[in-house]
Amino acid sequence: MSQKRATRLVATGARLAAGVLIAVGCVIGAAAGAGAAWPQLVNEPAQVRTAPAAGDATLVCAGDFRAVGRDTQNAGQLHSAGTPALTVDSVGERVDSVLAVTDLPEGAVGPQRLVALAQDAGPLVAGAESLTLAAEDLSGLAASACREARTESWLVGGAVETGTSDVIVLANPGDVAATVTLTVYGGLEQSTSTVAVPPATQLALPLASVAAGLQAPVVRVTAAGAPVRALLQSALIRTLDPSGIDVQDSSGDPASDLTFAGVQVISESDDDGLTVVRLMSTADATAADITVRDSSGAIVQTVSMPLEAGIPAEVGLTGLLPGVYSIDVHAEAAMVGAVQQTTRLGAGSDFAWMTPAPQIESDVLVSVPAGENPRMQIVNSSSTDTTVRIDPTTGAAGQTVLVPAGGSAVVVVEASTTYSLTADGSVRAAVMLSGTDALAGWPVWPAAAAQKAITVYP
Amino acid sequence: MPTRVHAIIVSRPGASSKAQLLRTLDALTLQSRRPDAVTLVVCGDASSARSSEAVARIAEGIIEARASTSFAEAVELARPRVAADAAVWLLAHDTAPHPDALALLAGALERSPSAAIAAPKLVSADDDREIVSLGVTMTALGRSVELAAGELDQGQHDGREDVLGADIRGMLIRSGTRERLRPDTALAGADEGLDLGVRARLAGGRVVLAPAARLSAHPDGPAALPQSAAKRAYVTRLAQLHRRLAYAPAVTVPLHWLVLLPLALWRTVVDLIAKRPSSVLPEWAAALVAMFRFGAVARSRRRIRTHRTATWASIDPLRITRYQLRRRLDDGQGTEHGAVSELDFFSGGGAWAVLAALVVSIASFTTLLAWPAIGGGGLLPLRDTVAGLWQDAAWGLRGLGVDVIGPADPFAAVLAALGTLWAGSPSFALVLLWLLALPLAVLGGWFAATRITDRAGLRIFGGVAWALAPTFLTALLEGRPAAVLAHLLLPWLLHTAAVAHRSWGAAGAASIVLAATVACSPALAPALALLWLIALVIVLARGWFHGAVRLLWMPVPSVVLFLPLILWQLSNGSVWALFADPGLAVSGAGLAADAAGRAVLATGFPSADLAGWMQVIDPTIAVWAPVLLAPLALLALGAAIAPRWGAGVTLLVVALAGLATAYLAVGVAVSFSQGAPVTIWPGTGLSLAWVGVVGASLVTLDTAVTQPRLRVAVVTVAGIALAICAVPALTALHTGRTVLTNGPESTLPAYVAAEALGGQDLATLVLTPQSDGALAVDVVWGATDALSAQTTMLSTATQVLGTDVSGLAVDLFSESTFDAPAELGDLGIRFVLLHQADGDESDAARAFRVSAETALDQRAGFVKVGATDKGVLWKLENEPAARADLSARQMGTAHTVTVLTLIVFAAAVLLAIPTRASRRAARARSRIVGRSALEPIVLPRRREDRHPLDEPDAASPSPQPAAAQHPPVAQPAAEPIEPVEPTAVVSASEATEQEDGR
Repeated sequence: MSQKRATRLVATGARLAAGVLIAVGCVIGAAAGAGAAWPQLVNEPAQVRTAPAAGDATLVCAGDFRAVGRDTQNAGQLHSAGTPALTVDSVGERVDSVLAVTDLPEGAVGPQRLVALAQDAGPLVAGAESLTLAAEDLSGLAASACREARTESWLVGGAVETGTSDVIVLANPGDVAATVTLTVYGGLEQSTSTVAVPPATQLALPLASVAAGLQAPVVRVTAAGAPVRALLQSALIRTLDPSGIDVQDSSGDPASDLTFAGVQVISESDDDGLTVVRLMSTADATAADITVRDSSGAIVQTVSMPLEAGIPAEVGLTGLLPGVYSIDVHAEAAMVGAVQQTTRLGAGSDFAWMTPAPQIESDVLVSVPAGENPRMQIVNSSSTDTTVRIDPTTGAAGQTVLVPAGGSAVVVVEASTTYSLTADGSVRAAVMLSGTDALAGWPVWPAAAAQKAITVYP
Repeated sequence: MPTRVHAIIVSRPGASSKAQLLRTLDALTLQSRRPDAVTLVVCGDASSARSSEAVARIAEGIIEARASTSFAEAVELARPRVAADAAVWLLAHDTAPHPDALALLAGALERSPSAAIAAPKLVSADDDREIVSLGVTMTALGRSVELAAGELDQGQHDGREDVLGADIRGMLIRSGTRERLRPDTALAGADEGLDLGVRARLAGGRVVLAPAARLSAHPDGPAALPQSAAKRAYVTRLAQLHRRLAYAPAVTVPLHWLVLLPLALWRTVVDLIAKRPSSVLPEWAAALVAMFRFGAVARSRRRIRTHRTATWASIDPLRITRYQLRRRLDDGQGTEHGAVSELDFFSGGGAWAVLAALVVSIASFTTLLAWPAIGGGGLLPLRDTVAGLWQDAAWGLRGLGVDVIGPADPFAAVLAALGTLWAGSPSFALVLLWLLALPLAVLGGWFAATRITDRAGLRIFGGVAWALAPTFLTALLEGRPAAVLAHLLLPWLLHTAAVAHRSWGAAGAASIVLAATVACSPALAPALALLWLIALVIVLARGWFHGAVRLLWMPVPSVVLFLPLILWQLSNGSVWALFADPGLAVSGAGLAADAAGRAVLATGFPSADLAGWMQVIDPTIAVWAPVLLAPLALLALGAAIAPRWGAGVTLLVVALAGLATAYLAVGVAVSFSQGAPVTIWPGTGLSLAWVGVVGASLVTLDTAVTQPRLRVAVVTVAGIALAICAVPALTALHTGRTVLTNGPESTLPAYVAAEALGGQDLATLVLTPQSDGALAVDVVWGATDALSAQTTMLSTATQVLGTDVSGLAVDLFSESTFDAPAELGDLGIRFVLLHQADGDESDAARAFRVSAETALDQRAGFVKVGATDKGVLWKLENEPAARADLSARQMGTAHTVTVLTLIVFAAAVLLAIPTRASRRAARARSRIVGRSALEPIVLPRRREDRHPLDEPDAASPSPQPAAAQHPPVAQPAAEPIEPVEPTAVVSASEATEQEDGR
């Protein structure tokens, strides 16, 4: 009997011990399992990268420069201050026409519409305009490239202070009316207003009418119905002297990395802002790191500035020696920006806004309009040296430029000439004009019809 | 002068047969009237018979026949040796006649000149008081019926003389009639005696019984029915069909022939409902064999026709009537063997718990009562018709994409079944599912708990703990229909699968529940397969082979259901993609596949917001919410040392398997939501783990915590902790912390929904710009992007399936002019919808959307319907082409898949249908599985017995030492409910199987 009891005790004891072991094992297993290296698998989704079929490339030029307030009876009436000279060329057939203008008095000539017809390799067309004014109220050089209309454009470098007369110019090259929504950033809240742009028509409205009282307004132009070409004409009067005009193109899509090419410094500045960077984060607060490189690619200055969401901010770059610079801006959030360059302090000077230069990955035509000292800066932010060929479409001898990795090159070009730019890598480029109290510059955009490939998840 | 009697003994070779043969020969020598000649037919090697002296002494001749020779054929071989005037006595090696048997049989023939055949009483060789056969008759439809088989011989049938037929063993056939009364060799081993009797009747003779003449027979003799159930089913059915074709009037024979197969189908259904799946194949084999034995049927019919003198009506009085049949048999519905384990769902409070859960559910999801459809998260509308739902569940054209043809997700079948429950508006079925989720979970949990405990309170605790699982509540809040359904199905899987080895009914039900569970959560398949293997090993180790066969059936419906998808993924995708969550792919576990993320999983929460805790209180405090589950976890661990440790450890293994599934799932991203990889939801793995944890804690509470007060206290603490843990989740809908939305009834604008109502012939191209500047392109057929139309073929695709529309979609935005409406129309596309991605829209997505809208506005042939809350819609001017149909080959595949699946599921459903017999068998056994001899006994609802029985020492009457030690404690009250010892389980289940198999 007692032996049986002993057997039972041992059996029960063994069972309990085993049970405790199992329970402890479960806990250890669960804990060890959490830290164990489990197989991991992340598949790649089915995706297709496809570029839209090439169609006609339609460019719209800036057209007549608007003068504000020349009619004392009707201060709101705009007048044509001058028609710019156009330089244009294309590969393949091209149809040019003129858009109507509604905001100028009868007889004014509308901007050029350049349509390069679709062809297999994609139509290539380029045009650029320049205009030098020396009137009582307007003086300086304004030049810009003709560009395609877009559904969304950002106009960054506007001003509504006393002495400025900025005008938003909207052109609808399409066949249907466009409804344009202007969203103005810069205040505590964004304000919007809507403008209807009839088909094949250009119209303009003073920036002050939509962005009154703002320090540094940034305008988002959203077109529905048809894309529009939006640009910003600026003119400045210091005290009573005209001090520069500019035609500013729309900035590219918001991005977390912006690169400006062809930033010109004409005279050395000490602590006043001859070169000002204006940035705005579109969605999230962030901090922007600004890196200024000279034409040899060496870093000459770095600045950091905080950005609030939807509030434009400016920082002046001081102490830069005369020359051509490229500026890289990096932030964690998407932003838009532009750089203002001024020839000198005081009345009678000229200024120009430079917008970010996009990557150019395929052949492109670049038109250089009439103007003094035409140059082109080519920036290579990639890690391999790139060879760039620049050939005039007239057939004259071109030149080959080696752009070192991370560096840039400044090429002197002929005025009133269109060039074909061919690179064996991806580069950024900007066209610059500069003279005495004359300054203009704009980035080179990829061919209008060469739309970038879109990733599609079917 | 008495007639000569020639005995024919049919024997099989073999040692035991020979021993029986010698005994039979001995019995012959001891006969008071010895047969005049004896011929021995050995089916097989006759050398040992030839060398035997005993045989030589008696047998006048020995015939050696092939081993496959049947009894009737063997008799036929010996017939030429029988003298013309001799009566034939048919014997087998195992039928030992009692001394005066032949005298009595011969006397019966002499006394009754009309008698053609005299038949003895066959008794069991083991127990000569058990009747093996005494007279056979048949029903009006020709089924043979033993008149007295299996009864205890008390002379109750000895008065009977006139019968229709008898067992062929021991029959004495009169000399004058034996030429026409030759056993029909076509009967293949059954009903030969009955057939002889019928033919004797038709020839004007009759069969007389001589009950005093007795033969001892073994059950495995050469003339007996085969031992195996399947063979027995085959020979009896074949014999019956053959007799039907032989007896029927000539004009009706073709009719009978034609209905053979339909009858086989019908009887298959009946066999399955009666839980006799082993009879199904013999049924078909018998029907097919009977169909094509034209020669044998003709021979049998000719023999009857040649000798028939009486009318068929003359045998009618000897047939058994339905009334007699009903009166003499028991009801055939099984027995409870005295032990009754009632369910006590109502009296045990289960119903009240479910009702209470319904109240809580309505309080938590009040607003759902007014919703016509539910959306958000992974919830989409269902098709608007039941036909559409089932079309989505079938192999063929999928409801998304162009020319995407292939297998449906098994989950679509689950949804179709769910939607059919509310046929008028299937989408509302999902609202009902959400409203009833809590009570259904309590119901399921309660039933699952019946496999673990008999205590009413613990069962309710099990149900409540199941419904308050954090993973379940998270699935409800995140809108994951597949996970919710899986959680609702899992307890039923436990409830049925735990007893699948016991009965076909449970195995059939478990197989369906398993298929549905795996369909809802394919990621559970590996863990469930592991558990199934463990169960198989346990069952085989205990020698329950019938149980093993039932377990083998269990995964069959799941495999058949998944087979098309498995084959497709093996040839077109990857094996891993099989485990992708079905339905709409939604990301959102928010857990990284690292130690920190898995640590959260280990606490039982499937998402980083801890079932809402992170949102309601300070996250630094909220991270301690898992502590509320600690009491349950500790109880679960206690199961390893509880007296019923076997069940406890098994449940802990279940928990670990579920946890491992969750650990693994969180790192596997095989499906994509518009290009973004989505990991498998770890919550269903946690649901499986919860089965183990709740089950194990119930084991602990039921067997280890023996103090009633302590048990109540522990249950209260654990229950309250769980309830507190669930509060943030249950209040989430009211405070707007869920993704659930009212509707939409269609993901497409109402204009499309109205045009495409009821069909799937109109397609809408849905373009959704993504935040990274990419574009998601979907082609949706019908009125809505339906939940049932989702397919893992597309959601896991790593390459483009069907016709690629991405190029066309992108070209729509280009400047180039082409006939876009015609190209879209060729694909069957009628509408183009520019959709805005959910959530905050990035600048890139908005810019894309704006430019896309502008581009589409300018396209010729695109008529803008307008901006809706679901996006901007265009209608194409030209009529789209009709949707391409399946090719003949694809149609064949679709039909094969559908038919095969239907057959298997029909079989499973028929097996699962409870009958009175299966219910009684279930009640005859304890509902608890895996009881151990060590645990205390619970007598339900015996208030007066509770105190003595709750003491641990009152336990264990079954192990002999313990019972011997405490003789006074082995109270009579404890006896009726025997704790099921392993051996007891074997014998009981074998007994049931014998019954079932018959």
